[in-house]
Amino acid sequence: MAHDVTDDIARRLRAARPPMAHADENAFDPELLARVREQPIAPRRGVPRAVAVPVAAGVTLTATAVVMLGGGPGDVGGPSSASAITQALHWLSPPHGTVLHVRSVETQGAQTTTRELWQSADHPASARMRTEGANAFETAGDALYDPATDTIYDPPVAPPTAADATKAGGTKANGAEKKGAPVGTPGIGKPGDPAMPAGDPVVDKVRILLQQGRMVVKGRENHDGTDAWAISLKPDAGRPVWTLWVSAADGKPLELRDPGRDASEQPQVIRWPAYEVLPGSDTDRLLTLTGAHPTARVVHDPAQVAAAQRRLDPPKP
Amino acid sequence: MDFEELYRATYPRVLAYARSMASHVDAEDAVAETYAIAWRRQRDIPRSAELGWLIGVTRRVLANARRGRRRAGALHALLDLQPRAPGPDPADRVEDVELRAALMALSPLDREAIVLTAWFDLSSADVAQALGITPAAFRMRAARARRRLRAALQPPTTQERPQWHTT
Repeated sequence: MAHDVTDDIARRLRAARPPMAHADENAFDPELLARVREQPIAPRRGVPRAVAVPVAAGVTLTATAVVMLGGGPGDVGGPSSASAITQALHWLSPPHGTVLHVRSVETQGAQTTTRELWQSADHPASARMRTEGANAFETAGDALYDPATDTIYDPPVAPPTAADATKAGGTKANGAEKKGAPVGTPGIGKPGDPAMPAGDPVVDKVRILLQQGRMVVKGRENHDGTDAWAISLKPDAGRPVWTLWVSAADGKPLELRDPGRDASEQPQVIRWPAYEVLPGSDTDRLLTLTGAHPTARVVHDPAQVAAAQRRLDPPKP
Repeated sequence: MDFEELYRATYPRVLAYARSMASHVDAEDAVAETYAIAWRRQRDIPRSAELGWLIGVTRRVLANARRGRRRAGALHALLDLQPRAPGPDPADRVEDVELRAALMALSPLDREAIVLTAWFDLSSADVAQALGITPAAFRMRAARARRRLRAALQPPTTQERPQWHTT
């Protein structure tokens, strides 16, 4: 089933391919080839001005977001709202060298799920999450940890791409390449590799919706005894309006309430009992499965890994 | 493979990559810069991953252009003239709103890893070469990106649904 979903994702990604990404196999620029070949093969020679990349005025997506969230467009409701968002985003970008620690309790109908996340502020892709709901398990990268059996299931490699399959003498299927790396350590970017700021998934989603102008700051109010900002989905976003309250004092997320779409989708409440930063001095123990569970047995067998995935974290119906 | 053969074999896809990541003018300039570099550094081009190497050079040329813009942007900001221009992030080109939001939740490098594979049919070796990482690192990134996309796009979840997704 997961494979089908993955195929669906691949299809969806390909369907989203912009027209410009389609290669015109007949494309050929003889003038460029001639111009290039006129250049001597010599190191450190500059490129002729005719082919130099112009430096035009512009901004990055990040910069655009900063302008937008700093109170640029009018859809955030004025300076105080902009201040609330800026404050929230500030909190959601924990300081370098720290580990973000989040504990949330999600209630929907009769089901309560508790999640705990440890995420590197410097390398947000490096994270460990514990889930306690219908099942209890932890994830880090592609690896899973089953506390009931004290076992880490770590898939050896991702499947090769279609292009790999057609390539003669393709890269070796390996499991040895990860040898020596802590299990459950996601591929961490190189120093300086830009990445999304650390934050739990709901908070990331709010950040994106704010950046897209699809959420608005409704105002400042008392929320269960705490001075808070209320940030809501816009009414025209296509589903019942849900609201996130963040502390006015420090921007920490407090609670999210979703009324649900209809009878098939019950109201949902998420609370964050903990949203804090920890010193980054013990990242292996906090962020990797082997660091957190040094006595655990590590299984790489793909069949056992897939079975554990289905058992512990089955795809939602 | 001599240079002209390499040029003929790769130019359409390098151009397609550049055009999908930047404006038409910037793409043309970046491709020209890329082949100028390739001509000078012919001996450095890895066999069996030539396309990935060329796309990697194009990627860096575009990144350098972006850095230049950022510097210019800082000056404009001081003058309160901050201009707006679309960034070269592949997610900017995705019209599927839900998919774009899911892509934006990935790290930029993870996003590139999965988009390069889906849009340009590159091999793992080529994508790894383009991104300047090892094939093993690429496979880990791509797997993680697929896993996160799968979680973000699983029905009945919608972009607006404020639901936790296990990473």
